[in-house]
Amino acid sequence: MKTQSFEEKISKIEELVELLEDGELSIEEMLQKYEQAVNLIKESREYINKAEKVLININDNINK
Amino acid sequence: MLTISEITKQIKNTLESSFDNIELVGEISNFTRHQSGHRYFVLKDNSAQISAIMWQSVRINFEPRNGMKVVVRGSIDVYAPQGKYQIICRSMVAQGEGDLYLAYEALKVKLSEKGYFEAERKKRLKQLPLKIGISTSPTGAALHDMIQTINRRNKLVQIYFRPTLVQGDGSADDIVRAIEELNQFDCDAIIIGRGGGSIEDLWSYNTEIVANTIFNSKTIIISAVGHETDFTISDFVADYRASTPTAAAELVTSITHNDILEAHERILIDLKNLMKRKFEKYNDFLGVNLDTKIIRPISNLISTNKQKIDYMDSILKLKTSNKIKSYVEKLDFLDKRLNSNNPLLPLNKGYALLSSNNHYITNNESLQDYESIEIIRKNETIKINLKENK
Repeated sequence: MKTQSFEEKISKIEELVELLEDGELSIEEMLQKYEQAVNLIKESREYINKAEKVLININDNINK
Repeated sequence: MLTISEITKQIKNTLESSFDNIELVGEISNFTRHQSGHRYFVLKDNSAQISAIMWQSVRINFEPRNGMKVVVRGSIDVYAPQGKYQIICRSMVAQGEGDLYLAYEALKVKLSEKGYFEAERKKRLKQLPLKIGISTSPTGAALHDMIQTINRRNKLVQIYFRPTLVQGDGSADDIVRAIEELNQFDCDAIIIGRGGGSIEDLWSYNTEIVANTIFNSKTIIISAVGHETDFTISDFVADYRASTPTAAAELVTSITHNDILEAHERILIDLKNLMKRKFEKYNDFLGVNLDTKIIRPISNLISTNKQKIDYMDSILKLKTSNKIKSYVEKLDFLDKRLNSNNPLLPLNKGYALLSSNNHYITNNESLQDYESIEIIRKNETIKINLKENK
């Protein structure tokens, strides 16, 4: 399976949140989508935190 | 018995009264004119000679020279302090020329016709001769004068001395051999010289063999025979004639070692000044141009690029961190929206979910259809059997 890019993950989260807000889903589907969205948000936060750290490292190295 | 003074007085009286006004014919030799103008010479013929004096007050219409035949009128005088007799001349008339003088003149004409005296064939002395041959008597003052003069004026000159017979039997032959031998040393010049003397003493320098040898010499010949007033054939044939041996020594040292040192000093100073001017020129150039033409443009370029880099750096940081920030905000926002749609949120308010075998029971279904259900609350889950209650 192809790994999702960061941007694709963000779009997926947006899509999931919108589906949940519509309220048309069954409770089972809601829970499943909710869980999926929570996991994607967690992954994305980790990714963006890592990116920020990399950036800080690079700047620190340059300014040394 | 007589004293020396008494006999000299008697001789004086006898001679001076007997030869009071006489006329003599003879050839002049050893002629010298004293500073006072008095003239001292010898009158001679083939077998005898007599000293002669002609005072400065006596006027004659020619210049007496050695070898000249003259007729003089005068009185015999005895000079007691030296026991010497002499003739005091009151007049002098030229009476044809002497034999040696005639021979001298004849050779002079002959060699002149052969072109021996031509100025064009004479070699030029180099400016700074450093190797000088000398032919003269080893015992005369001439050698001493020349060596001293040369050494005093230019210590760099090397002297090749060939001791030479300068008068008497065999002297002409020896002068010839001396010139030939000195020619083998590749000297810059050869001085043939001697001090003053009578025409007989100087005669070797008036011979044809010496003249021929000088003429054929590869090396430059400087003739320095006798005094200022003495002219010999060698003087005419030689490339240079010096009036005395000392003058010859001065001629070959026209540039002295002091001249060389001074010139050297001057050249050094000139060089120093030249280098100084060059350096000053380059310094000016570097001082002015290094700053305006090189350093300033480079530092301008550097600072411009530095600003550019700083700007790009800040833009880059801003863009990157803005992007990250915007994603963080977006994630926060999505998180909030997600949380507000958490399907389990109602459980916090005391609501419960009903499920059966991991299936959530919706409002469209009837509990009648299930044998057992689970009631899910926030903190507990209870299973209820519906069949038994029916």
